[in-house]
Amino acid sequence: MQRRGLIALLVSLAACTCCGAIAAAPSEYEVKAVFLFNFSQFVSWPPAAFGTADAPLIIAVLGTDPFGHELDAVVKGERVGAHPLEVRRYSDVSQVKDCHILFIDRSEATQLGAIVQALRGRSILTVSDIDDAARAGVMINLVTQSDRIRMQINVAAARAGGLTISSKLLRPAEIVGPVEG
Amino acid sequence: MSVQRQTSERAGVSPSRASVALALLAAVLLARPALGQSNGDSSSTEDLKKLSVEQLMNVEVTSVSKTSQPLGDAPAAVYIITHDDIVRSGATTIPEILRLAPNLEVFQTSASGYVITARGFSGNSAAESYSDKLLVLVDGRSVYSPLYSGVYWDALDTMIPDIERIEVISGPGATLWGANAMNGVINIITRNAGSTQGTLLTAAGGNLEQTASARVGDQIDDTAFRVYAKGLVGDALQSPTGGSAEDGWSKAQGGFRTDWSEDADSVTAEGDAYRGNESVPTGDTGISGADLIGRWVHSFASDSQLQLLTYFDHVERFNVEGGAFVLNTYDLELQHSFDVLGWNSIVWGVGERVNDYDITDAAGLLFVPPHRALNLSDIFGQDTIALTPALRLILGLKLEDDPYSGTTPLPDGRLAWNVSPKVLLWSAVSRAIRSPTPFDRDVEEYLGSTLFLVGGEDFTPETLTAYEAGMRAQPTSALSFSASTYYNVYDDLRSIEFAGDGAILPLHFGNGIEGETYGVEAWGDYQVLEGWRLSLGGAQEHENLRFQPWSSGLLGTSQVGDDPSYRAMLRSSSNLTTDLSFDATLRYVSALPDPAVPAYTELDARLAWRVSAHCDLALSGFNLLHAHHEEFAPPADLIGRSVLASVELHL
Repeated sequence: MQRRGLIALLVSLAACTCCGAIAAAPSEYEVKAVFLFNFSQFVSWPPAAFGTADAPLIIAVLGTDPFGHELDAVVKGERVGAHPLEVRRYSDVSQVKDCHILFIDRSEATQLGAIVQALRGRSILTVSDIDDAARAGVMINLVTQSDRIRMQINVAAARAGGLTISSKLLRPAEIVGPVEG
Repeated sequence: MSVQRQTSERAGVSPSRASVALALLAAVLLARPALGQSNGDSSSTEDLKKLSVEQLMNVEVTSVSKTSQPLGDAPAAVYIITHDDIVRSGATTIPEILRLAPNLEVFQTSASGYVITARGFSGNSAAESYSDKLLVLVDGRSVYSPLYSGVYWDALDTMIPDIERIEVISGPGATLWGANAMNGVINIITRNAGSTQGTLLTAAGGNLEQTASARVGDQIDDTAFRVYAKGLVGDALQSPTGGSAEDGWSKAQGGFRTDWSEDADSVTAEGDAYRGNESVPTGDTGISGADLIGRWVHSFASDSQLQLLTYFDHVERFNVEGGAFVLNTYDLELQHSFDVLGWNSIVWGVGERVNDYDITDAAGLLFVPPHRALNLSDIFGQDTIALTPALRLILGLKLEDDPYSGTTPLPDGRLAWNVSPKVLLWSAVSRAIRSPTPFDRDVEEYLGSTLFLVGGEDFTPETLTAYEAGMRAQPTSALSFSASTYYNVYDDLRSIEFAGDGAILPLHFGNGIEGETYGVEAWGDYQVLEGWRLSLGGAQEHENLRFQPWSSGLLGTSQVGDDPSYRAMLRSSSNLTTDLSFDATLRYVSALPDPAVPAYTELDARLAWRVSAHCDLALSGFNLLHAHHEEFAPPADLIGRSVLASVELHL
């Protein structure tokens, strides 16, 4: 009796919550672009990563650019301290020079191991949305599940690059690494 | 008139119903901060930038990425049940979710009972043989019972929508996981509390079960937490002799998880408690338990990580007709991983576990002694050596000291070759054991006043040497598949022997069965269209077992298990529109040989409607093709067709 009452109550609750306005949801890469912007705010790079005190903080995309104009729109006019944000695009890992955040597109999935190896120990925050990228050594993996985007962070890889990730990012993330279980 | 009716209805609300309503109202009010961050209308980039990271993670996005089987590069037969797979299955219990793994055999035997195994050995209750070669972990906490090495599936539960993924490894994993990881390992991993923020209410009702659950997640400063409570009522199934099996059950469970991380450290604490009651023809069974886990992970400056895990687990089970046990487990494990010279990646660890139990004898079934504290210690190391950039050699060894068999070495060698970035070939040779348990060694069973069966004083571990090979490939972005094959050599499997010296009784457990099993497991995903995926999976297994020349040969070799030679499943997952999804799974299990159970084909289906960002409705049907079908030999129940309507509210 009590159980049926509970179900009836939940269904009636559903009826009133469900009729709320349904607005258009943002696109997947619009949200991912905002994630990249957040990373620029919540990750600390060693001072040597910037040539001058007001050198730009560069967010780069490796491979096919999935963001369209979204990433440019997100960082436009933004800065971190004295560093203005700037977007670059690379087609090959050998072109990656002085960027700070590197988004590795799915078009690079087959070369992921080589890319991780080439960037190993450098102060570049690697981000990707390739399946299992964080376990493969990418610092942050953006995973889409149930239409929501979640973070997996490989803390050991970030520390190997001399980067410090704020607890504001770590807290909601799933921490992955070489330790089993 | 209408006012009057309303008044009389109000008067009919019982106090308990009112208190449930009050609790729900409280939950809704608690969720107020989450309600404020209503995400649907923040589609402009500037609005998105104002959100906190937690809020950003709750924003629903339109385009759905492919969430097929992550390829990974573990050289083993691993099937991952993802969070989305769980949601899309509509299953409300962990055993039903495990039906999604093509490398597991799942048989439902009663309203609350299941037999689950990998690569054979489902057991035979008439021969006192139970499925006992699988290791099951929830966030690192072992949940198989050390009393007999099997799993009480009715006791295992958690807040289902908070499960991150379930890793199902078929084949031995003893070097990393220890004894009992003989035929497989099931790793249930729940979500970080930071990613289960806000309030979630679920309710589901159907002809065979009714469940409701509530979870509230929030954070205070740098610490994220969630608490949950859930209740389940399962109706009786049909008895194989006709009529109701009268084995309905109910269970209530609650729990929490809290996560804190800063820079290089993360700390997790979590716990659960449950209580349930099961009707069985021989009198009601009560189950209850509680657990508490603490985990600390520290990352060092180099590619090095240290993990400390500790837990306490309390299990109680009693039958009103007599027979009960209380089991307390205390566990402490340390694991450290680091790189050497850039081409060695090393993991090593030590662990200590105490199982302290007290058994109250059932009529005719005694444990001598009824109380023991079993001490299990282990130390292990594993090195992954990059021979070339594409070729890895993995060597590992665990030394495990258990109170019955002493120190046992559990070695493992694997070779992984990335033939191309899209193809992985692997092979492995490993040794695993199932160590003796109180049931094997200490049991005394009486028929009237006659001592009928005793545990084997000399019962030694059951051993396995496994040879495996497999491949995983993703030839195109739309197609991925995995195949593995194994040849398992078993020795010293448990048998029932005569008393010896010409006497028959009491019978005792011996190690008189040996033999080989071999088989193939394969699965693959094909993304037909942007919103439509087909998954195919199957397994074939052959068992070739025999008694050793000196053994009694009692009850035949089929006592170790009644396993199907073939299993197959086909699953279709589709998004009909952005708000409407339809999933269907067809599964086939071939006939069981001895005792004979006919082959069956069954269909599960689910239609889900995302009404808004806050509300999901779903209608699920299970075992739709027949009114009843048989999964396991009597006394197991017949499994009936069922439907379930459910609602999920994210507040």
